[in-house]
Amino acid sequence: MADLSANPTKSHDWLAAPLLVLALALVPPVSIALGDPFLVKVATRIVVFAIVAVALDLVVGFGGLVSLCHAGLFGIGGYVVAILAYHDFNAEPFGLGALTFAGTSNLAVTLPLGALVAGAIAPVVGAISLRTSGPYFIMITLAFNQMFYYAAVALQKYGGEDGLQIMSTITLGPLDVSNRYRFFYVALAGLALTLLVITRMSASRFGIVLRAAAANETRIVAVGVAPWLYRLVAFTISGIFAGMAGALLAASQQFISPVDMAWDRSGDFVVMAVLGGIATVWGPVLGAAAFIVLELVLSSWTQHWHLAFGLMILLVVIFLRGGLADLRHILKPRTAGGAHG
Amino acid sequence: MAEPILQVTTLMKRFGGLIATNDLSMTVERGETHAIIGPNGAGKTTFVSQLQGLLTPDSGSVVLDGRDITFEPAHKRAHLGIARSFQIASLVPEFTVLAHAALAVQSRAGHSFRFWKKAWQDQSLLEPAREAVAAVGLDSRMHSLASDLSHGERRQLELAIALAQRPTLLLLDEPMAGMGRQDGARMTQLLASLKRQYSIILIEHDMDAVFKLADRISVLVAGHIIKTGTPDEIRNDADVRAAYLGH
Amino acid sequence: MTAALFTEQLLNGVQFGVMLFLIASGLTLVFGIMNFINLAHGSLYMAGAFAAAVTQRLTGSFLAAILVGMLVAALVGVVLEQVVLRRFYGRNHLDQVLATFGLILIMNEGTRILFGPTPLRMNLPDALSGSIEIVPGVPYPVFRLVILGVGLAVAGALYVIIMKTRMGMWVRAGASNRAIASAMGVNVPLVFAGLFAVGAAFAGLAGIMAGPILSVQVGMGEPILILALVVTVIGGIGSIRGAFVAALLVGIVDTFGRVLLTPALGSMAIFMLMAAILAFRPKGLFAVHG
Repeated sequence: MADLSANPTKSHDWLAAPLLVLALALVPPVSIALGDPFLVKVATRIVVFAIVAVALDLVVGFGGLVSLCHAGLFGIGGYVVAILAYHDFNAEPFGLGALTFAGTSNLAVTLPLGALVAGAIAPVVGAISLRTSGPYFIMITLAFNQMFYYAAVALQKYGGEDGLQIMSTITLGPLDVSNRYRFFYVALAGLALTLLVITRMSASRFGIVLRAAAANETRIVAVGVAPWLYRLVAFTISGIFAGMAGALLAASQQFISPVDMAWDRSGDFVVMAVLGGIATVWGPVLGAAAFIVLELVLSSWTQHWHLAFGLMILLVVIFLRGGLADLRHILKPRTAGGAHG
Repeated sequence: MAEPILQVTTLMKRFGGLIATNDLSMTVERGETHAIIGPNGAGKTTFVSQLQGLLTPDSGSVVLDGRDITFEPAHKRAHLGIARSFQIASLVPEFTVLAHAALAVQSRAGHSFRFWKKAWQDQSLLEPAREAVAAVGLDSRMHSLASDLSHGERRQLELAIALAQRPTLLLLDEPMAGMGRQDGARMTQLLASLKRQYSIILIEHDMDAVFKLADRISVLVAGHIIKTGTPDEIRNDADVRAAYLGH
Repeated sequence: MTAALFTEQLLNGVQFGVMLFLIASGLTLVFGIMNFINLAHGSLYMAGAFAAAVTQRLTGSFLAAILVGMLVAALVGVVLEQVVLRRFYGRNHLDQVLATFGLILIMNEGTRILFGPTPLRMNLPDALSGSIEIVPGVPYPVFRLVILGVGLAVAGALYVIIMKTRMGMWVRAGASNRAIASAMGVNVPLVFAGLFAVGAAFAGLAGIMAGPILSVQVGMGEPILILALVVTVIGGIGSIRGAFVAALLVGIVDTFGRVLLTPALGSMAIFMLMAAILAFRPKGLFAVHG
């Protein structure tokens, strides 16, 4: 078996993602044992944000594109769930032009739908943003995020700036998943799926092209590949998972608001991915966990925790280049050059 | 007589007020190694970039194997048979030597919208890649990261990638740049072994290599080819001496 | 729509546009020359506004408020550049985005600590607080006319400097090809630092002018920054002329969009405009190319 990545420690990396999922799977029993439901609440938030961060990693880490609109796509997924639940609760059909649909609180319908709607909007954003080079991409995605935010605020019927509460009981097919502990495993399954898909993609021919194009576009063009469509597809797939995560968030907190999709939330997602380490697929899971835990801890110390947070981000960018995932090299030092096989 | 593999006709390229390519015409015969020499700033790299497709000429035409490719984008030309190696090695630091060659093989195989199978366990990619790496003598460094290669090894890798593309026309932009005598001699030998299998355009300053390898030489001065001929003809040409060789 | 309303909204649009231009001009040059994406530019807008509001409160003088506000904004800009941003010039855009994102958090929270979460009010001096009839039957606030005047004056001055002076030539050279400008002996770091300070002062001025109209509060910089980024993208990175044309376009489209369309569509109008323009001119209207 020829593993063409010369770094020998890479061959053990495949363990990291399953281990993380396993560790997270233990949270509910621990939470019950300690009699503290708050633990599961936090863990759910971590899992949901981790999905976005991992999906974002495909675009940022492997594609080399800094997207600042993932919170927008995330929010779109959330609003799909919340809006359909609203129509279900009020027994009011949802009208889209000439068509009307019944509302529903069934995640088996609204979860894929949220992912699909985000997945349909993402390529439109991507097509416009990818027309030229990197810096434009960043600014244009940021602009689009702002547009989505304003659109959400303008939805007076669905709460506008105050957001939309989900009053009905969220189900998954026949199952009632409004129970916190049950829902956690639904979200965790989503994370596991995301990790699996993104991991396979990163090592596939598609992933290779994406990574090569990010590192050296001249080279990839010279051997005969035009990167544009690959980037667009990566961005779209990333958007699908972000939408899925948003749907999960709305279901878990029974609430969605424009705040969940503001531009600074997009920045947060990028921070999570980078903090965890964008060279691996699983690093962003650690990043999401670290981010949320830090947020909790700091905010309990001072109301001005944003200052410390901003400072931390600054210091991390200056000093900790590889993110938290680089810590694994402490366990197994990387040998330079890596003569392998 | 067979059609030339490459026919360049009255190529012109301006950058604002600067004329980089000035009414340039030349042909390359099949299986020929055609060297292009000229003083610095003559526009050699600009010319190669127009052949490869990174730049589009303002006027004139480039015909490859009877097909007009003047406005074809670079990535398409790679599939039409052109492979270019860069003067400054253009590599992916985190990929190994083998991975670079595999990338070229992968591109040749068609589109890369395959999302599940691991690319680097695919023997249909690795076999041809290994061959290309071996052909340039880089087997011992097969699994080394590009960032760990010496200068000479990088130039070898550039060539390996080009070969992995299974081209009909090789565009070699100063393959010996920055090489010491030993490395240079090795590269010359390597190129000599490739001579009949490919048509080659060789941009070089290393005159020993040029006179050893070239079937014909064109002299490029100020974006225009002032003379084309056999090595002996060029060596003894008074105009060429005046313009370039300096004595 | 009556002629009076049209005139009023047109003036509003142009006035908003020149304000956006003040911010976008700094952004586009910083980006075009140093390839540096600066999300913290909105914080300079905020800094100018706060410094001015506080100065006015302490001295009662609007003029002093403007001068101090611009000075403080320029100073904060220079300090930020020297202490933090300079480290990121060679680094990739991801690092720059993260660093300036962190700075936004620090600046916003720092401002909240210093001045509290309640918005500050800026009052207009009597001379500027009335309306005059610019066209019979169309009263228009004097202050907004002043903003328009100041903005156009600055735009004009900037145009003259960039197009007609040697320093301007260096700036344009740097914007279109950094390496060559540097090789030709232009002291790019110095030109850049100066540019940064001037851009910061302009952003601060825009904040001061917005203060009496929009109110001075923490986080006021970011929504405007995003609009300024849209202007930069539409105009073409590195082009002052592009920033000016795009700013006016954005200002007018936004203003009329809000008046003519539903609130939902109105707030989205500019982004639709951006998408439409990029569809035909991916590099913006007046792309400079580096």
